[in-house]
Formats: sequence, C-alpha cells, structure tokens
Amino acid sequence: MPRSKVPYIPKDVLALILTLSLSALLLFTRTSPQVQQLKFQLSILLNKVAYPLTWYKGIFSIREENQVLKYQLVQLTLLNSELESYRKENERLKEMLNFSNFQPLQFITANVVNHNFGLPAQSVTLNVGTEDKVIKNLTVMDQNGLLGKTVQTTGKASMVQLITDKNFRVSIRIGEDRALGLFIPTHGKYGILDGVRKSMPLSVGEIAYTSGISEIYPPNIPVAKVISIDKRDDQPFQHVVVELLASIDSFDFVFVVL
Amino acid sequence: MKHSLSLPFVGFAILVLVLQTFIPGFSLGGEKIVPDLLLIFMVYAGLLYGRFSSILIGFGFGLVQDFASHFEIIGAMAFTKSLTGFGLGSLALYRTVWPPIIRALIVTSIFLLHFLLFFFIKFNGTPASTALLFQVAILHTLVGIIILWILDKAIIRNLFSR
Repeated sequence: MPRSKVPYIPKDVLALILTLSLSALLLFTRTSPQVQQLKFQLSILLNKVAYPLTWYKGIFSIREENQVLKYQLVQLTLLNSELESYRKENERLKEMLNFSNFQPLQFITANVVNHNFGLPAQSVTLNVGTEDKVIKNLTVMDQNGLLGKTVQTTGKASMVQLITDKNFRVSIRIGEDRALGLFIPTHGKYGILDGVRKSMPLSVGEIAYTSGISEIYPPNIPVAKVISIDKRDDQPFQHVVVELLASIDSFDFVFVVL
Repeated sequence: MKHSLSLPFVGFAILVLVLQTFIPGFSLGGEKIVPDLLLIFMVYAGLLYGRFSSILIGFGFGLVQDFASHFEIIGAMAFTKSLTGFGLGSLALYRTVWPPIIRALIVTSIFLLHFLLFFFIKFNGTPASTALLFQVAILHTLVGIIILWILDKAIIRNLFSR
C-alpha cells in the first residue's frame, strides 16, 4: 500500500516559526519609535528583495499599458482625421460666408452689453459704435428676425431701440399679395399689423417682412408671425395680432445691418 | 539528551527568573549592563533538552523580560531569545563532534548575535550610535560568557566545557 507523502516539518522548526511569528506579531503591534523605524527599514528591505518580482510584473504591466496606448493611438488617429474633415468643412463654410458678405445685406456681429428695459424707451446697448461703421438708424436683428434700430452711437457703443418699444413702428408686407401694413408693438412679444386691407387673404402663421419702403430697414427681414385675424364690420382694416419672431427674451449677440 | 523537562529544572528556571529581576548591573553610555542569567540558563537547557525545549524556554523567558522591562518593544526579547534557543539547542547536536573551544566560540557568537539583534531593535530610531550598539552588545556578551565559564567550572562542574 503506497504511503501518502505528507510534507514533514520538524517540531523544533515549527516551534521556532511559531514563536518567531508570535514575537514579531507582538512587536509590530507597538507604536514606539523603535518599532516604527524597524517597520520602515523592513519595508525598504522587502522592496529590495521583491525588486526582481516587481520588475517581472512590470514587464507585463508595460505590455498591457502598451496595448492600451496603441488602442488610444488608433482612436486619436481616427479623431484627428475627423477633425481634419471638420477643418476642411469649416473652410468651405467660411468661403460660403464670404460669398454671403457680398450679398446686399452686410452686417457685423455685436455683443449686447446692457439691457435698459426699465427705461420708458426699451433699449439695449451694443459694444459696437462709429469705429465699427455703426451709425444711427441701422437695422438690428438676430437670426430669427428684426430686433430694432440704432438710435444713438458713440465711438465704441451704440444704443438700440427695441422693436417692443411703444414708439417703434415698421412698415411691413404680408401675404401672397405682399400687402402693405404697419407693425405696432402692443405688449411683450406681441403686436398688431395696422392697415392690412380686408380683401387681403390672410391666414394664421404667415410671416410679415419688412417692406423696404422705409429708408432704415432693408426689405424682406422677417418681423412677426400672424397668430390671430379678426375682420370687423365696423373697421376698415383687418385686426391682425402678431407675435415677434426675434428672441426678445434672451439675446446676447445681434447683427447690425450695415 | 532528555525529552521532557524535569520538575527541578522547571523550579530552577523560575528561580533564575526571580534572580534576574534582582541582579545588579552597571551603566555604560546611559545603557544599563545587566548580566543575562536567563541566557546562561538557556545554554544548559539547550544542552540538556535540545532545540524544541530550548526554543520554548527562550520564548517564555523573552516574553517575561519584555513584559518586565521592555514594554515599548514587547516581543523583541521573545524574538531574539527564541532564535537564540534554536541556536543553543542546535549546539547539543554537535556536542560530541565539536571540541569545547569551538562550542565556546559558537556560544559566544550566539550571545553576541542575540545582543546585537536585541539592541539593534532597542536603539532603532533613537540617537544611539552604532558604536554604542556594538559596545553594549560586546559587554553583555563578555559578562554573560564570564559568568557562564565561572558557573560551569565552579558549580555545574564542566557540563558545558566537558
């Protein structure tokens, strides 16, 4: 019958290991300066002893790190090519923008630096002025529609009378017949179109554009959208309520049409 | 070599422990030099009972010494005395092989290593110099060896040096 091979440890060696372990355990539970220093020295010693193992493990970690870096490199290369395509697209768009600059409507971008809604005349202040070729009575608009006109300019700033101001008026054209009318603000973002004849077919949602009759506003700038129409018998014109297209609640950048 | 500790031996061990508590010493560089009677006792324990008993006796003595006078480094003396017990117990295996002078040299080396290791732990992290560590360890060793030689020649009748 084969005898099982159980590793044999002499009892004196076992006793030595046990007593040394117990002693070390007791010693390292202390927090005296001697023990602290001993722990520190032992950790340095262990680091030195374990250096080959650390080095060996380091090789594998470097290999893994290398793989991760390669993966990231591929991703960055793809991203780079994507950015390159964006750059070209940007150039194309810039070319298109330059093309639009040659259109009749030339404008500059301006920052709104102050809102003067508390004043009787609703106005804002822009950071562009005569130095930027901004003069009085220039059209101010945002990407959606008409916002107002410049009423006062200095070298580096100009004041804009907003379309919501009670004294603001602008001549408009609306409908298939391009009928003339006059936009008059009422409250908030709402206003009315005055002078639109009754025979003019009009429907809700139609857009009123600047007529171009005025010397201030160029033609075909969107002004407002029809939200209700009322044809009263006792009135010679339609009562058209409109909503402004420009974002008058929040705007930081505007365009000044030169 | 005996395998189990005899009652008189255990009683003698307790007596040595008590003696160790009251034995006078002298000062060197702020460190008190006290003859280590327990270590001398361990030489005979190793010769008579071998490694296993010697290790356990060393551990027990060390723990008592730690609790009695080295509480801040408790376990240090138990550690060194266990190791010393192993060394002194191993000496019994070569008792008939090595001549007395070699055995004396080995015991001296074991004593010196014991004290060097213990005082290394004790002086670690303190301003004590390496020179002081060696001085104290050598002095303790010399004192221990002299007492062992006197005891062996005068009282125990050449048990160690026979």
